[in-house]
Amino acid sequence: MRADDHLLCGAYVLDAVEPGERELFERHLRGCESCRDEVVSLRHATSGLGQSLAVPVPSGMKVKVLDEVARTPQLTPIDHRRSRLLSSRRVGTFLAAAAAAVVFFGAGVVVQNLRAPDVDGMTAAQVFEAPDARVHDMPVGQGMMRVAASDAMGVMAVDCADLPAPPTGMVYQLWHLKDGEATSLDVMDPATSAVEGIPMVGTLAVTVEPDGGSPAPTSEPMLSMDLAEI
Amino acid sequence: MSNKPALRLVTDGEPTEATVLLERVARGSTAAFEELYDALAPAVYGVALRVLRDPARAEEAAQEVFLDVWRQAPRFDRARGQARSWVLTMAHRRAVDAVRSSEAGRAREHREALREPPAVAGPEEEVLAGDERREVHRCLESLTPLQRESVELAYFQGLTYGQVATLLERPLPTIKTRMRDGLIRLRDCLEPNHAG
Repeated sequence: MRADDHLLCGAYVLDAVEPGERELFERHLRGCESCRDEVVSLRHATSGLGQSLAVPVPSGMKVKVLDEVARTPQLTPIDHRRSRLLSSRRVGTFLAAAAAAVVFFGAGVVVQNLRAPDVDGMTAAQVFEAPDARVHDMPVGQGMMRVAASDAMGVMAVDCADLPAPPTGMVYQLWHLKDGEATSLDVMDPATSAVEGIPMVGTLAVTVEPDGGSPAPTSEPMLSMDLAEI
Repeated sequence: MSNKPALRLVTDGEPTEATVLLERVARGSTAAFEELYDALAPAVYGVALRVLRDPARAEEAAQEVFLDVWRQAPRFDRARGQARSWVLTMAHRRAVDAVRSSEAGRAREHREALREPPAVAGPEEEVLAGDERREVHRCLESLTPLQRESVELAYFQGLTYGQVATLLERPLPTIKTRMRDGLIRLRDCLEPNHAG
């Protein structure tokens, strides 16, 4: 963590960073535990400021809210503990070594189109911010892979931008595993952005492959995730 | 590790009443939601009103926040703070985003140029005073003037640190730093009887 990152925690908690900067900082937060802890602790202060602004609520607001709530389904839960544990259980020793290099590469973002074939131009950020997005943080070594799925948008996004850089001459490759067969979805080049369909059943897996990718996985997945859980 | 304030605050806090309620909301309890609403609506609406300065828009924002609370309750993560903090964070962010993105935001800037509002609670907001508000004010007094101004302009007015730097004619890194150590001081002052 750079000193400057911690410096921004205060402005971030006050919602005083520029809009574009907020997204960047949140990306950084996903890989910076001490920053996340500081953000949580500083929110005690803003929470006090917020409480000090309490005023009587307009009459009728409660009825409107309860009425809306009665007609609104809740999101499905995320097992936060479990997604944190995935890192230690599923990550191979290879990645632990690869992750020793704390070099982060840029926007390695892939949008996987689950249903609608006409959503070119949709960004992973939009999927992550969808109101119904189910987001999974999957710590990998010292980095993080994030997966988000939105039923409303009919897509899933995989964000590898916070993964440690793969070893020289190697790339991350994303696979769909089903009935013992592996189908390559994408090679996670730093600048990749792709749209393609994948089914809702099977397993999503990431391996490290020689530059350009492989026709079939040549190493143990460093991360795998049952698509039904997404 | 136990000496690190951040870790102590994150892990040691017993769930507050609001957090217990939110955990019931996460399991679909509308009765718990109603109680949670009663407990937090004055602050949620108050935050929106302070930042938006328009009762109709503040009410709209507050309603959206509570709908979000209902929808997202199953994803609330206790490890990332207490319920009140979670809800008020949503409220402030929504209000700030609304103010920055809208035409009304520009109109508001114009209005504010003509009429500088009070920096802390105005008379209309004294109704629900109580010990906690006095405590917050006392703690704000303990900040340096620049810390306090930076924190208040950001939280109460919804300004970015860039706008605060321009307004106060200070370099950006200075304002970023003052926001952070201002919040740290405020947190440490509030901490003994303040649970998220």
